[in-house]
Amino acid sequence: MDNFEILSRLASQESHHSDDATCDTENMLKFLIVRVKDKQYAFFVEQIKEIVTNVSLYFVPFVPSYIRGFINRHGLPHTVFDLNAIFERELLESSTFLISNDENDQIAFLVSGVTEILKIPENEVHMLSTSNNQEGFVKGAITTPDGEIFILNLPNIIERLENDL
Amino acid sequence: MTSEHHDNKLHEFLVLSWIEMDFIINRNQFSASVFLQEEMKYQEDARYFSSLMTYNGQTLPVFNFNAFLTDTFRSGIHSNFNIALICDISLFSRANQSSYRKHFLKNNTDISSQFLAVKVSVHAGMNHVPLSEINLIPPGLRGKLNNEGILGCRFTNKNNIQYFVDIETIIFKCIREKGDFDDYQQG
Repeated sequence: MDNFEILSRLASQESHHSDDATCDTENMLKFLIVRVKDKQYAFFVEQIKEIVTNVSLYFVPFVPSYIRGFINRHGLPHTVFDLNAIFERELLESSTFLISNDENDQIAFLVSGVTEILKIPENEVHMLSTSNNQEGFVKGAITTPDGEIFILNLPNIIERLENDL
Repeated sequence: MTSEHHDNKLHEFLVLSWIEMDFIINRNQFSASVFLQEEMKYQEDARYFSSLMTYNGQTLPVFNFNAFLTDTFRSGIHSNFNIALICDISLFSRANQSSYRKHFLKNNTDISSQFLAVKVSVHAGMNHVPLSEINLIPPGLRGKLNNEGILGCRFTNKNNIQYFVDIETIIFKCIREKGDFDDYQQG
């Protein structure tokens, strides 16, 4: 069996993997608030499948510095994006990972920690218009008693890797 | 995800054990292995093709896979004792066979047109690995890493990662891009 045949078999077995993640729609929007060093960011809760800590991070070559490696979740490699390296160009020392719910890829985000889950009325969420945010990493903002928290635009963050490779 | 869909077919791989990670190579990519005791200097400045060895009366260029893995994966090796994997050139793609002839045989008729050697650490062993345990690279990185010769990975019981690597892709990428040959063809 040559490597082409092995890859074909691996692709075939991967196509049988399924992910039953469901997404509830509510009038209130739920956000996962995370800390990245001294800043806070918001993810839509349905974008995150799992929060894991203290798992091994495996080095991956030939990738931009903000890709910190792979982690193993349930036997599958997940590509780890370092949000601090993307936003501040400084590697983050942490072992807390958010596992993305992206059905098309296995992705994780390295963050300093998880702060809370917030429910915010939809009309209090300030989304940026598409026209002025086509390539930005911020999708909008929510206002909390502690101040404004940016909502991350995950598709654009992930797309950056595509452009950088 | 259900295991019943997985391909449980076993395939034989050479497992190279390094510090913090392992590498697996398809057994079909080489035809023999021998202890690598004596190497002759080939091109001192070349990083990956710096030596030659004798095998069955033929002179083979030696690709230093240890040096490549050290440079690329920032990992360390357990031992300085080495073996040579003997790769049959005729098993390479036509394009790579052509590259081999162009780069190795054009200016040196003493070099084997049949075999190439790959130097690896002696910390290696043959293993039958279920294909169901090998994962493709995540889609966002798959194209890039496959092009570099990293085809997949597997997580072991020892909390270790094993990269499934394609030595043909790696060798010929080094030949074309790393500049080893510019040096020694002039030498």
